[in-house]
Amino acid sequence: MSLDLTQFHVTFFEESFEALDGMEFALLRLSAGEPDAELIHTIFRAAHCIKGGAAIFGFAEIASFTHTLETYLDALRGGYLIVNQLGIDLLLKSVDLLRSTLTSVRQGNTVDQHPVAALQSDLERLSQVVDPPDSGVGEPVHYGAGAVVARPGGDVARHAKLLPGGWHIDFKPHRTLLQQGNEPLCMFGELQRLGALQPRVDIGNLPLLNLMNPELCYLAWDLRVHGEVVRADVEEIFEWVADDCEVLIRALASVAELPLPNQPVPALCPERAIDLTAPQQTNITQIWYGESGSIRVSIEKIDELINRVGELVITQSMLHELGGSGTPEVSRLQIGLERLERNTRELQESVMRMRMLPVNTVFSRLPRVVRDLGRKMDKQVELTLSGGQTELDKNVLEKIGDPLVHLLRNAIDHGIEKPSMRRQLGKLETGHLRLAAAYKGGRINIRLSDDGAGLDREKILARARSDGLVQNEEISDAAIYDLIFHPGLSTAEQTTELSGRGVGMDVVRKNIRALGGSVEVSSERGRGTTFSIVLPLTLAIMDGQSVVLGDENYIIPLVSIVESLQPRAGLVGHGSNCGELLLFRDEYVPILRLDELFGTRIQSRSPSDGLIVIVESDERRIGIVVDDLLGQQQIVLKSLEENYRKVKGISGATILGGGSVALILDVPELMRIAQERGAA
Amino acid sequence: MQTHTEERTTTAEPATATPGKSSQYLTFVLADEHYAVEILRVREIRGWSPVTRLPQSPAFLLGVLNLRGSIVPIIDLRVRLSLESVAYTSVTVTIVLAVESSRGKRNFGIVVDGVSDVLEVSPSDIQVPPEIGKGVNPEFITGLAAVADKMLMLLDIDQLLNEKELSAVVERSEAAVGS
Repeated sequence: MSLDLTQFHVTFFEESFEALDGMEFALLRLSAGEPDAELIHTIFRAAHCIKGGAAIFGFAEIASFTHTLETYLDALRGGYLIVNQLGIDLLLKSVDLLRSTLTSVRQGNTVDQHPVAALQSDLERLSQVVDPPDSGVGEPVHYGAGAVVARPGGDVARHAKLLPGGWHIDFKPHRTLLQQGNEPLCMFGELQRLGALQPRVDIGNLPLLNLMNPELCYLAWDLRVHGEVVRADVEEIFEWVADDCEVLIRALASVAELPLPNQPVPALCPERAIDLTAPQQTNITQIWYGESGSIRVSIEKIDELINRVGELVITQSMLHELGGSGTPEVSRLQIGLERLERNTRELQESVMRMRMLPVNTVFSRLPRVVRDLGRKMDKQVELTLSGGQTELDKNVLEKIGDPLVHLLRNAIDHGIEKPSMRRQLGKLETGHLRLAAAYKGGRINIRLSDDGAGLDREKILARARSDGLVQNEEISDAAIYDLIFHPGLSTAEQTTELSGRGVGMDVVRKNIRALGGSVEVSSERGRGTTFSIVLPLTLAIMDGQSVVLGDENYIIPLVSIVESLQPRAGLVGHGSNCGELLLFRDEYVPILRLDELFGTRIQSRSPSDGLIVIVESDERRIGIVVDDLLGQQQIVLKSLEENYRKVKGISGATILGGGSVALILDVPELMRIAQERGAA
Repeated sequence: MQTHTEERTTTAEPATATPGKSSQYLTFVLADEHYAVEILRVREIRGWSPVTRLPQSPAFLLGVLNLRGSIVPIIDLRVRLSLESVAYTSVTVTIVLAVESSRGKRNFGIVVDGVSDVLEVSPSDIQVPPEIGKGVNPEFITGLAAVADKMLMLLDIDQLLNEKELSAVVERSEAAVGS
C-alpha cells in the first residue's frame, strides 16, 4: 500500500511557516553577547522540524539546507561555537530564504538554487571553524523515513580536559528499541540511582498521530547525571541497549570549560560560550512560544459553524413568534424559548470569536522590520509593543500588516533623526517607537507613536498651497496634518522636501478605509508623531441601515452613511448632462436612482417624494433615493459569489431575522457607477 | 468590473454514474413532460418560498434564497428552458442541486412544477437526444430514457448556470447601463 503523502503537504507548510516564525522570534531575542541555551534550543528545534518534514516529503533542497543549518545550530547548542552577530545575521537570512523557498515549493515553482547554495556554503564555513575530527561516533545517524539527525561534533574529550561533576548523555534510541524489550524508563531509574538526573526529551521526531506506530520509539533524550559518577557505571547501563541506540557520553562540567577553538573565527569578537550547566527549568521540550492548548482548525469549518449557528438563531426566532400566549404550558414554553434565545445569541458570539486572532500575529514580525530598517538607515531604533493580546478578525489582521509596515518605515525614515542629530537636540540617541493596540468601544485602536522630528506644518502648508489644495489661510493644525494623506500631495518628489511621510500615505488611508476603519495623525514639531488607526473587530459583522425601495429591502453599511434627509423640491436640480443633483451642505451631490439601475419599482417618482441617503466613499458623496428607512441592525455579511457571482452595485447579502435574504449595497461601486453616468 | 474567464469543466462532476451500472434519478414534471436529474446531485427538495430578487440578473434567475446560512440562487426552470410560465401552486417545489465548477462546489435551486419519483436508469436505456427536441432547447438535455412507461429527459444541470452564460449576461446588462 502506498501512502499518498501530498495530503500532508498543507500541514507541513503550515507547520514550517510557524516554525520559521518561532525561529525568527527567538533569533531576535538572541543577542551576540548573551547566549541563551533555551533560545538556541528553540531555534534548533524549529530547523529540525522543517528538516524532518522536508525529508519525508522529498523536498531535497530544503532538507539539505536545513541540515546545514542544523549542523551549525548544533555546534552552538553543544557549546563548540559561540553566538556572534555574523551568525545571527546568517540565521536570519536563512529564515528569509527558507520562507521564500517554501513559498515557491508550495506554489509548485522551481527553486532558485543559487542563493540557497551560497548561504549554505556560508553556514558551512561558519560551522567548519570548529568541525571536530571524526571520532567515529560523530557519524550522522539515519533514522527511518529519511529524517537525518545531526551529531554534535564528536567527542568532547578531545577538546577539553575532563572534570568530574557529572555526565551528559545523548541518548538516541533506534525506533525498534521498545520491540527489543528495552524500557528506557528503567534505565533512567538506574541512572537516577547514580546521581541527580536531569532528563530532557526531544520530541522533534514525533510523527503525526495518524502516522504513529505505537510499537516504535520516536523519542530521543538528553540526559544529565550530576554528581561524582564513574563513567563505567553509566556505560554499563547503556551496554544492554548498545545495539539499539546511539549513545554519546560526555563529561558534563567540561562543556563549559571548552577551550576556544584555535582556528580563526571569521569576523567575530570573542564572546562567551554558552553555559550549558545553567539550570534547566523544563524537562519537556516546549514547542515555540505561548500558543499552548490551541488546535488548528480550518477557516471553512469555522465559517460552516457560523452559518449553522446563524440558522439556529433564525429557527429560534421563528419558534418565538409561534409561541403566542395563553395556557400555562405555552407560557412555560415562552420561558424556555427566551432562555434558548439567550443561549443561541451567546453561542453566536462565541463562534464569531473563534475567527479572532491576537494582533500579536502581525506585531511579532515588526521588530524584525524595525531592526533591518534601522540598520539600513543608520539609525538606532527601539520598538515597544503593547496590547498584543487584543484580538481581531483574521481577515482584518491579514490586511493590516502592510499599512503598519509602511507607517513604521516612514517613522524610521523620516521621523527618527540620526543618532548624531538626536544628541545635538538633547534626545536619547536611540529613537523610540511605540506600537500599542487596545479595544475602544467595540472597535480596536492601534497607535503608532515615535519620538522623532514630527511633521513640518509650514512645509506641508506651503506644498499644499502651491499644489492648489488649500486656499484658505485659516486652517487648523489637524487639517494640515491630515493633508499628508492627500493623494495629490504624496505623489512627486516631496519625500525629501517635506519632512517626508509622503509616499503612499494615501494608499495607507485607502487600505484602512477599505477595512471600514480610519486613520488620524497628530504631531508636535520636534517631539514626534502619532498615528491612530481605528478598525472594526471583524469584517463579518457590520452595522447596517435597512432601506425600502418599492417592495424590496436593501441594506446600506452604516459607516458610509453621512446623513439621511427629505429634500425640499428646490434643492434638487438637473445639471446639464449630469443627471439630478442635490444641494447638500453647499455642495452639489449627484443623485443615483437605484430603481433605474436595479429595475426596482420604487414609489418615489421624484427625489423629493422620498428620502435621500447621502453616502460617502473616498471623500466623494452621492445621494441614493429610497422610499423609507427601516431600523439599524448588526448584520452578518454573506458572499453572493459562493454560489453565484458578483452583482454590480451589491457587495453581498445578509440573512434577516425572519430568514429572508437582503442585499447589501456596495457604496464605492455605486459611486463609480454614478461617476460613469455623469461622464456619459 | 468582474469578468469570468474560467471555463466550466463538465468532467469534474462530484458523482458521475459508473459506466455499465444503473444509477438513480430524481424525476420531476415540467409542462407535462418528465425530466430527471441524477439523485447524487440533489441536495434538498423544498417547498416554494419567496426569494429575494437580484438586480441585473437574467430573467430565468428568480433571486436568492437562504439555504442554511448560505445564499443560493434560484432558477425558474420553465423560463430557463424557454417554456411558458405558470403561477406557482402548493405543489411547486425547489430542487437544490450541487455542481462542481472550476471555482469549487456551488449550489443552486431549480423551481419545477412538482417532483414525482426516484427511478433507476441504466446506461443502456439512455439515448442521444434527436437534433430537434420537443420544443426544449436541446442544449440542456444530455439524453433521453424510456423508463416505467415514461419518456425521461435527462437534464444537464452543469449547463443551467454556467460561467459562459453568466459573463454574457454581465456584458449585456453593462451595455444597458452605459447607454
